Amino acid sequence: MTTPPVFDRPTFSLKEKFIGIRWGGGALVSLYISVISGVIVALQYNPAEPFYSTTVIELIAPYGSFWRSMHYYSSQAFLLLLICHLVAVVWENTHYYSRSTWVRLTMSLPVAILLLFTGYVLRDDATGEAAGLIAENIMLSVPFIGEWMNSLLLSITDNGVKRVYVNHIAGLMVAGGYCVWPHLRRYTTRWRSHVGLTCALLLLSVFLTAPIEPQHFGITHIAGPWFFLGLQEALRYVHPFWAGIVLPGIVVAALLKLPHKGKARLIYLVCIGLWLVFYGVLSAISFMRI
Amino acid sequence: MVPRIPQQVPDRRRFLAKLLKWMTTVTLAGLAFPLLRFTGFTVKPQPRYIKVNKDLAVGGSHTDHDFILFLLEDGPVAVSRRCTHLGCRVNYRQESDIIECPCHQSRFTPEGKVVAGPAQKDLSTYPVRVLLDENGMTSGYEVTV
Repeated sequence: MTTPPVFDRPTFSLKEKFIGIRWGGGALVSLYISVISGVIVALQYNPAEPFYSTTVIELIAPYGSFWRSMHYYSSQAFLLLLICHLVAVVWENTHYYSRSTWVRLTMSLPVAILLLFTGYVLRDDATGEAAGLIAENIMLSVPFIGEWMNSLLLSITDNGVKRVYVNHIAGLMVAGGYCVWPHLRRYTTRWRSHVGLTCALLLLSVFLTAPIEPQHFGITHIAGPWFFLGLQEALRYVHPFWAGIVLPGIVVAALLKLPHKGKARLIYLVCIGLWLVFYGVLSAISFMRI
Repeated sequence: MVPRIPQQVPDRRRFLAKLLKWMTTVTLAGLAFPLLRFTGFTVKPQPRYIKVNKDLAVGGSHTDHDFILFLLEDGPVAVSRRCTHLGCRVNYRQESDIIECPCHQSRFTPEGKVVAGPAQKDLSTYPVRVLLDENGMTSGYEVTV
């Protein structure tokens, strides 16, 4: 007599588990929360007095700290989840996008990083001001078109944070929208699929204050945003153009050119991996200086 | 009888579509110039006269938003707080008599000379005028930024 077959629980590999998570939907929900809270924060923000108005929002305006935290943490979640989404798509490698579609989609990552970065600059505290001025000098280091790029995106020395603000709330949002619009028309998400994430962001906003570092004389060390640390370290050793444009440009170019299959794809992936290790080491060194 | 497929129509359409594409590209390229001219336009700011209403002892300093004012043996010197490496706002460290950048730790003397990189150039200085009271004593300084 044979024993009846026992129901086997399906087992999933790490890859299947990772790819199975709705990273893209989570990123989209985080972006929705970030945009909504950003519009609310903007109602009190004044680009003519950036640090003063940020401080008013944080300390004086009723629930200002809550809305600012929500904008900050949802934006952070958006970037992290977007990176995970990209990793999952590259790992899964079943979507054979045309090159132009892939380039358009992948450009959303540098646009998202610029969106977060301009957010840091807009608070105009010690970190924000320094990060903005460093970025301006990096732009100006680009041969031939540096001044044009700077006048379009930053121009902090001549115009304060005015242009950074315009790009944060409009220019980069339009650029990001252009990158992902066909993708979002095809793939939608539902709030009810991300209740945990939404609740986590709400709780974070209630209990954790978004960082702000007041300007004070005698400050001896300023660390940029976490994704900027490796770049900040590289700027110690090489010219701003190489550290600020070529170094991040390598990984973006590799992502945009990533082949669909074959040995070439593996070579590109190894290059991206090595770049990430190198950037991680630079970031760790910079972090240890804090 | 198989009807003849008119070859010319798709060709003409293709040509017009290509023409439209090129015209759009040329128009956008043409708009780039006025755009960059417009965004690149800046009005040179008026000089600002900032008063420091205190008399410094020799070796003393005063830190303002845009400059650090020192009274050296040779007279007052106002050194820009903008680091020549990447523009961060430098600070004076009194205990070591050194100006230091918080971003990459470039170091400068109170006269603004580079001591340690990554900065390569000295800090710029601003003109300083000594303000005198009715008895001819120093009452403060006026820095032109």
